[in-house]
Amino acid sequence: MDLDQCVDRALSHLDETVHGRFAANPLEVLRNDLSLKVKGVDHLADRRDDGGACDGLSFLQDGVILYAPTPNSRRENFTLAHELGHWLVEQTEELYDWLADQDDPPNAREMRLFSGFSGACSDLLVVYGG
Amino acid sequence: MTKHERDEVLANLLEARAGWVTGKDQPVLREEDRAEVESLIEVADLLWEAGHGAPPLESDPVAAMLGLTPDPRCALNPKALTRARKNIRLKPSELADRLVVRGWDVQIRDVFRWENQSAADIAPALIKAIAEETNTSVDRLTKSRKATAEHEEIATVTRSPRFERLVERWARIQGVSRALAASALESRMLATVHRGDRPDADQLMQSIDALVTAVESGVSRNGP
Repeated sequence: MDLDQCVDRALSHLDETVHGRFAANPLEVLRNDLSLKVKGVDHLADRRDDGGACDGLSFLQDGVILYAPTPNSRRENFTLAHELGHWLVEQTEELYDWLADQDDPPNAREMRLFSGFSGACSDLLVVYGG
Repeated sequence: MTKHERDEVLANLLEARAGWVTGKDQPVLREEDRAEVESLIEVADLLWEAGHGAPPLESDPVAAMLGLTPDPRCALNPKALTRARKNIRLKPSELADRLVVRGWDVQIRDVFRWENQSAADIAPALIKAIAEETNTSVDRLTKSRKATAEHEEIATVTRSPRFERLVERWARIQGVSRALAASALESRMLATVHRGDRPDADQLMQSIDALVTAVESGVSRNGP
């Protein structure tokens, strides 16, 4: 299985209409279609003493996603797409097996996969005008 | 009812509840006395449980002897686990399945986390099971536990009074003991996934607060 197949396999958990609506309104899809508890929290948007930035954070076990709110920005949409990626991996067991067998460092391989999700969602944003 | 009579009634009721045959007729109580007696029995039950119940796992010396609580001196080595698993061509899902067969509550996401995020909360008994399933030794799978930035951040959070209050709320929502709630919230901090840098101690604390609030409210439509 290659990266594109992984992305396709994961995205198959969402039907076509949901793809379109995610591009137009990611928050609504995460909350209503996927029944996740999604909340914008200022503490992720605040500047950190060490200069680091954490834009989104998921407690998958509890279906809770927290994100730094920057309304209607590409940054916010990509953060939500990234957190959707974590959720999709959770739904697609073989992706964990695939990720674990890649030779590049863990962060790099996850970034490749999530870039794949974000890329796919980015395409959708263009296609659906999000 | 005099104090002596009330003590007598209570003793009879407690004996009857414990299943002892007393041969005495159970007294018929007035409504006000019944309420008082019931509340006293509830207190008696709680006191009995406090005196006889099992201690929380992490402070139970027997659990420690059985290897069911994480060892403060050594921990599962993520790289060694990956190496051992790959050596015998086992997928994370297959390792998880094998551990489940042994009675451990393990999912594929857990194996992935142990290899890629943190394995600090793994008990020695589980490490032994992993070693057996990956045809290696416990020594090869473990390393001495060193303070990492991640563990320092989590320790900073767990030492704070605010965390204690969150533990109390989590225990109430989930209907579990405080010790179990504390352990669950700590595991959540280890298992969280994120975009960008790892959350710092302050962000972790506020995120755990937001998690507890979200689960407490059970509302999926929180506004930004």
